[in-house]
Amino acid sequence: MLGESTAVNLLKHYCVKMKINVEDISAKDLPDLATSMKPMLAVWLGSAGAARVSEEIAHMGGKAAAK
Amino acid sequence: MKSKQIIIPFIVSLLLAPLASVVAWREGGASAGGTAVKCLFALTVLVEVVALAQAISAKKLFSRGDAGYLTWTLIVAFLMIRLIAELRLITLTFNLVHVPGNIDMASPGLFFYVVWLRYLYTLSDLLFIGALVSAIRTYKMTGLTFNLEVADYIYILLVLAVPSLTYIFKSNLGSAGLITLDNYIATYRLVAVLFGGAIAALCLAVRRYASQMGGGAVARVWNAVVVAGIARDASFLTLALISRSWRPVAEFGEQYLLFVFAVCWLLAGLYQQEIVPGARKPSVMAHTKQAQGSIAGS
Repeated sequence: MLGESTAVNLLKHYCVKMKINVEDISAKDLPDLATSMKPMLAVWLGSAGAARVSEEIAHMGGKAAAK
Repeated sequence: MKSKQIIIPFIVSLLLAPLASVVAWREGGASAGGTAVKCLFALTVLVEVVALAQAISAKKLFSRGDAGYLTWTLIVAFLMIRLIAELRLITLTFNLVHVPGNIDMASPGLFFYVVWLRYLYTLSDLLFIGALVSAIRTYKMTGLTFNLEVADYIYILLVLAVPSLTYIFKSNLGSAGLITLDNYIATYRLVAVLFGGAIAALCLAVRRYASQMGGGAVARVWNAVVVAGIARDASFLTLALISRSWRPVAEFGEQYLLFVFAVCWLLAGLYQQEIVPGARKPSVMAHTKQAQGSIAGS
């Protein structure tokens, strides 16, 4: 959706903000990451779109953590 | 409406339009060739109507507080004013308004309608510039690194040379087009090409940012806008460069590029809505809020 480079940059940006290492990210971090990414996603997708995408990311994280 | 439904008819029309024009010229001469250009113009306006409707739908994806809201509001205003200007041109092209041979002999109202109201296009271009500036601001405010490269500055310089080139060939500007009712049109076209140059330069900046995204649906939206902006600028250059020597080709070329411009805007509106499918559907929103509630509660 945002393109590979943007997605990677976005992830790095938020890892710096949340003071965690990119390599250390696990599925349980995804809900928090998704919530903090929401404002930036809203820039391109609108609030409703950002909420939906963020929820999908969080859901993915929840599912992976459960496994 | 889906973008996939537009792509194939668009490609087919890009091939068919020049073919139809050539056939019209061979079979019916200048008059039939002119009719073919007028038909393409009518089709372009029709596409612009649909593009405006899609841009309005795309704007609804953004809340007032979103950065994209201003960008899409400016895009809607731009397309709306442009459409009003196109409706004026339709009345003149299809002789729905009677205009005397010498516009200086017309009533003040008619003079205003023919000569001054064409600057509605300039007003709409200003809004387009505003939308592009807002889009660039949006990219910047994400905090991610989006930068122009040396090659971009060279392209921007080349694009900014278009108004200069048009000025050199300004004597050609009044000699072709759908309507050549008055001598004031050359001045308007010079103003328009200046704004067109600014639009194309901003489009190049947006293109670089979109390409730095490494693909994706958002980049697709802005790439369509960039092609639209460049096609509009190129339409003026076509008129300026070849209208004296190949007038029919120049007239067709201008309208052909404006058709590309209109379809690209239609695609941009559709692509924006397809980024997050169903983002506006109430059931989806309700589901999202419910899910958010359960995440917050857990």
